[in-house]
Amino acid sequence: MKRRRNRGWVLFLLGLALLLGAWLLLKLIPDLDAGHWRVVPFLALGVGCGLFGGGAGELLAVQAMKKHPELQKQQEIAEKDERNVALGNAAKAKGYDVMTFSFGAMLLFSALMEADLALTLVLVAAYLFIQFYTLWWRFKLEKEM
Amino acid sequence: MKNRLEELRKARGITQEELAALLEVSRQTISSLEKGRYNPSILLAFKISRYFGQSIEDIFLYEEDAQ
Repeated sequence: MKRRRNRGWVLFLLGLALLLGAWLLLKLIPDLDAGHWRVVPFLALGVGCGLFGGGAGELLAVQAMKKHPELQKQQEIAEKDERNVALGNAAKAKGYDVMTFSFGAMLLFSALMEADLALTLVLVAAYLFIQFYTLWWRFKLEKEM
Repeated sequence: MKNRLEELRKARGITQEELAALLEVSRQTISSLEKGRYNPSILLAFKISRYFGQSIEDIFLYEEDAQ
């Protein structure tokens, strides 16, 4: 509960800082629109909104659970419930399988369409990273189980 | 896997919600177990068998054909 509240505050304050930063950048540097950095304030605005909203939601949820301890107990049971965990993992595994094929197809189309090489290479790197990360977990779990 | 969970629960006169709270699982898990749609982990099977004071084999009925 305390950890959740702390995480809520961190997200809330980080989001607020990013929103303020974006506003300051837009106000204090008027010719920012012309340069390469024009995307920065809007990126900060988008990420800041997400973090601010997520943090505020966490804090409200913690507050609501403080008033209703039975709700907190139910939430904890739902999170740890073995069937829920198994369903979540199975759904993620299915999604991963589809992602592997769709990502592969996207890379192929990207190469066939002669898209920007740098972009294609970044996508290939991300694809390989995910595949090797999966393999690494496979070996790690083989040793543990 | 078939089981006698519903029968044992009703014999004790408790609801699915109450059994779920006692075993610290969701009510949906109890419902799925009773319908035989979900097979519990060995830990949950032990919890259930201890709660009802019966062996796992007496509650969960293993059928080789089901595999």
